[in-house]
Amino acid sequence: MKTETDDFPERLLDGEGPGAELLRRFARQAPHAPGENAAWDGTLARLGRDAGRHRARLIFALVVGAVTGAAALYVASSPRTHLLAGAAKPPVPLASPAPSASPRATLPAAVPAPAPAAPFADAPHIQLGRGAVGLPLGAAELVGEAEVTLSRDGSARAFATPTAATVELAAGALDLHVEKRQADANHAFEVAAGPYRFTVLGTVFRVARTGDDVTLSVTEGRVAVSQGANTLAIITAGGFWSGAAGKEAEAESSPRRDLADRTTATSPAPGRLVALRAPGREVPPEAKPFDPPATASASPSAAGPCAARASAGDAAGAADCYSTAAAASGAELGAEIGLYEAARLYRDALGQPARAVATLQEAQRRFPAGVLSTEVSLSLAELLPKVGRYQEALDEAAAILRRHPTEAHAAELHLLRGDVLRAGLGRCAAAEAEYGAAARAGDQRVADAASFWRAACLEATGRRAEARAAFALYLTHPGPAHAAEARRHLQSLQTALP
Amino acid sequence: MKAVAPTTEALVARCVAGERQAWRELHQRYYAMVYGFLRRLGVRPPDTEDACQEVFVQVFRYLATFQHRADLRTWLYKLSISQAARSRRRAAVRQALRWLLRQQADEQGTPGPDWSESDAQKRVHAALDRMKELHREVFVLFELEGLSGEEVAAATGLPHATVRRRLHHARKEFQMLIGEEEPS
Repeated sequence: MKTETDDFPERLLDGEGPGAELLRRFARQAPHAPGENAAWDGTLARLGRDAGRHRARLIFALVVGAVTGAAALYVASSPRTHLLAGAAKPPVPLASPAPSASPRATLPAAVPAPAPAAPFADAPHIQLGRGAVGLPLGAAELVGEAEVTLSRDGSARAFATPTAATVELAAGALDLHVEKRQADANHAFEVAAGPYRFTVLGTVFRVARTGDDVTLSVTEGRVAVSQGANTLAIITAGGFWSGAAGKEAEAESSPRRDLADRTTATSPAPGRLVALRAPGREVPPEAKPFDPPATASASPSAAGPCAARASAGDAAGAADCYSTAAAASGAELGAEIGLYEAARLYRDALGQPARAVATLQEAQRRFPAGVLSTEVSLSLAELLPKVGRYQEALDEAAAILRRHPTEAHAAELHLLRGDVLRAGLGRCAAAEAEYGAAARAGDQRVADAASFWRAACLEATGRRAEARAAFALYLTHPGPAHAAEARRHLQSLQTALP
Repeated sequence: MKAVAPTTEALVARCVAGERQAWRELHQRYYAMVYGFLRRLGVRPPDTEDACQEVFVQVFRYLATFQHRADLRTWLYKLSISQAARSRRRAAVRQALRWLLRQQADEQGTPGPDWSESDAQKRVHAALDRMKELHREVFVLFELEGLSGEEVAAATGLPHATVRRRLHHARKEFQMLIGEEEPS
């Protein structure tokens, strides 16, 4: 049976010639790995350091929050206090108009940005390589990594204090890896490049600046770029975006640009970049062993209380807090995020899928073209079958596939539709086509499940010869998850068929 | 009676449950693999241990959310590829800073011979070091780690056709580099 792997040539070391012989000799000698015991001790120490650092920041954040919160009562209008206090800003009524100032913990306009100088000449807090960046709230703290790539004409200066972290990029390029995505827009790690502010919530991307041109390329995750209140584009992994000071921002050609929802940028306000969760990633940001539950801000004023409740384990209170804040907000990004966060809490922490569905549908109704619209739709498609609403799940998945037919999650959606048709509605004939599409487009995990269930559906609908071929093909895949069952089906089909 | 090693799934489940001994077992099982892979990806010995620790820190931090979407080994390769890229970038930054400070070049940038390695290891490592990074990843995974084409695609996140194309070029490049070092 021909499979995709057959297209690959024989391994070199299985062949003839001096190169093959050299590789054989090389492969016989495993690289010498120094003592595993010492390595384990080092790993443990590092894990402990991370956890200890987290606890220390939590305590520090509480102290800073209490002190600055009290100070804010007396110095309510000081922008400097706001900068340093972060989440401990004086409360703003939920129903108030959108604050004119950016809620992000960044250098306010009144504080001039440090002038570019010789690289790292006077930046004592520079973090080269892995750098831990502490931010005001325990639940929102962020451990990031900024790797500075020096360019001939450029410089990048990093400033990290216990309450904020900024990299000022005069020219050159920055590669950013941010492991944790629990920071919200109030407590962010930022890259300032011209008029744009790149607020990192967790992804891998590069920001480069040449003169007035600022470019962004995303390696992992999905990134929403906004300028003022406008969403400029959503850039997916492999995507590219560029903008210039005082000019209209542009979404450049990208291999996965079909998700880039481009609108005209008319506001001269600083841009903002928010990294979103990528569906189907192997390393999702939530629920790390040493971290508190994920939180995000519903609005500038709601972020503190909601996040604090989530951190304290009060998931129900946090979800209600986000919902209430989102209801009180208008058409802000924060309201959309709040609804999404509330739905996540209902779904993951509270086990209330019906309520999660209702919340997501509200988000969909209020923000049909919102920054999180695809995430909301994907979550709905996954959740609806769990509450028995199969047809709606099918419709939701089909709608996403129509909008983004070539996206990475297309295979997952076909698999989902196949499962709903087969297990939910008992329509194996229709499911077979969906499984076929998923098997062609999916990664190994999706293809494995889709191939197996396609074969099972073929058998269930009486197409036994095709089923036999499909099971046989399935068993040629590397490490099939349902191998034993597939062999049993194949044996039964071979016995029954001439 | 010989003890039967737990399956990867069982081991991961115990790790997620917080069993420290299971962490240790997982580390013991995969440490040499990760170390060797990082080394073959061009991470030099002084940095390899650090990079290896970083990979396992990532593993233990994210293991609860792993959910067996892919084979654990594939995931380890994926984490190692990212970590190797970071290590190489850091080494480049260190070199740049040393150059700026007019100090001697980082010895990691111009490594001396490692007498503990055999001649075959030295020659293959030398060729791997000179290969393009994009080629080296698929070459090491396919030729030296023994992954199938699909597994390489899963580990690198590349389409199947791209893996095949890169492998084709990588093999040509490797053979050319080995040929250059053949005694005339």
